[in-house]
Amino acid sequence: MEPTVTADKPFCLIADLHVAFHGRPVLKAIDLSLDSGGITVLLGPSGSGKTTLLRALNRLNEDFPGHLRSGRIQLRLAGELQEIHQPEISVTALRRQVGMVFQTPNVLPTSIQRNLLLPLKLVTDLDREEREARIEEVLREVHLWSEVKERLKESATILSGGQQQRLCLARTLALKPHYLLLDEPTASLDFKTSRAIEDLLLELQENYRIIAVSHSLRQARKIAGRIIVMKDGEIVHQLDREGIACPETLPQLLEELF
Amino acid sequence: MLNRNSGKRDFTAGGRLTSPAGRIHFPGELLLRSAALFSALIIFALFGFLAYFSLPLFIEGRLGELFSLHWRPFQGQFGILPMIVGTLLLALSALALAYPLGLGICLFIHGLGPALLARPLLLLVQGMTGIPTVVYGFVSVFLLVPLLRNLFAHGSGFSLLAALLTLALLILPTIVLLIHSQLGQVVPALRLTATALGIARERELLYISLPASSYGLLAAAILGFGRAVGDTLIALMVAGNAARIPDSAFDSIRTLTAHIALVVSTDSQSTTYQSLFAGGLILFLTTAAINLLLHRIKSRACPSGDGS
Repeated sequence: MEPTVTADKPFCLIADLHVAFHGRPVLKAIDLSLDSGGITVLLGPSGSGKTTLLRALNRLNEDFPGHLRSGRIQLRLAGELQEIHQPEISVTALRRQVGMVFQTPNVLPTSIQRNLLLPLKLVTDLDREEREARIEEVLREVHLWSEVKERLKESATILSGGQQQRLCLARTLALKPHYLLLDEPTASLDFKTSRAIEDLLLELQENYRIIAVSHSLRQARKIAGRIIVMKDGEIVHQLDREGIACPETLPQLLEELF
Repeated sequence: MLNRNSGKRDFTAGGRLTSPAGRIHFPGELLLRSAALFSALIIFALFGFLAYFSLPLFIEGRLGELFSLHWRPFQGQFGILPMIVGTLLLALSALALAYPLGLGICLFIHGLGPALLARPLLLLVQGMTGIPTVVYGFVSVFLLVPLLRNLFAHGSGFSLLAALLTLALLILPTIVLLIHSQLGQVVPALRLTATALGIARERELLYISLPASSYGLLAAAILGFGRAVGDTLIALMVAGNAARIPDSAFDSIRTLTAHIALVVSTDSQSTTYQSLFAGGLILFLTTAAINLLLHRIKSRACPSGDGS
């Protein structure tokens, strides 16, 4: 099927991607081209391969046992499209540029401050002052600064679910990624907190290329600039802004799927 | 917060075999309770027995004699200080050798080494727990002791060094298995997070997982030390058993445990026999202190109740 979004300057090109775990195919012949145009949302029933497709982009699938892949993935890194599996690309460097936030907030069992400082210390060569400036910057970016500035030394686990998820987002942003992969980032949060995170994502789309997995039609409609519908490891539909805005298309599509 | 942790907590709360009132109801209850009571009584009886027999030493003000440097039973001197020093020297040095080694093995298993070798290495260490202590002692007497004797040309080879090398091997599995089980809980939860942040595996282990495993790290040191203090056979077989404070690692030492075993096997009538009870009491209290300490650390590391 012809992609609805035409690729004049794509930032992500996937060609004939197959991924299998322990011989069981999870992604089959994925072809995809993404260009700027807002948040890309992957939508589909569970088991349709959304998360695997997301993890293919930061090569996180490789850390799961029995992983087998074929096909090409190109991402725009340092201004030009680069094949992410070529040997010159360091996988840890790739993951810094393609940041990821998980379904459940996964703060480290340490202080709020250290949650942000430690990754910076381990993967960048910023000095202490630069690191501290950076964490203030990202905490402001996710609107958490005013809530935590007085208690940076306290344990991150005392924060609420929504705060923890924003902290995880800040931790990823602190590494200055170009891409943000979000795996159902509001799945474990209540309605109101989800709304706040969605508003935040809409702000962040100005500065980052965001690809998110979602299982909520409401959420997809609200944040997506492009929706990719998946089923059984294949992309079955792609919708651009007009398709999303059309009141019939999406519900009809999902009714067919679920 | 609530969402994230509730699943885990519900499981723990629902996993207890208790009814809301907190009482356990099943047919063998009485039997189990009596068994528990009986075991507790034995421990108290043991303590009472040791205290009762060593009491004369404390009452008659002969503590000075007890903690003297000289063990000359035929001249009425029965100081056990050399044995206490020997025990501490041996246990601490064996721990100092085995602990870094054990930690290294655990880090190797959890990702510093090739995954292909991790499992065989773990199986080897687990297998080591099944080897009877006497085998270590025996092999040491025939291989290690002559080697040390020839290598350093100092004394008989039966020495602190021989004992600490053998004992380190004995306590290694205790240390490895404790740290390993702690890392096994901590690493899976943190590794994916760290990996997704572009943190290399070795850095994740050293800077994230290891600091999060402090309870296991401490417990391994304390239990390893306890195991080393409590072991009798290694010291008895290869340390040489000279009742004096050693000048170097090549000198012979005698530990409290070996001392008790030696005296009991040769003499059970003389008055010096009382000093053994004092030695036994010291060992008993050391073990009790180690267990209490461990309990304290554990309750601090994993507070009961629902925490927040």
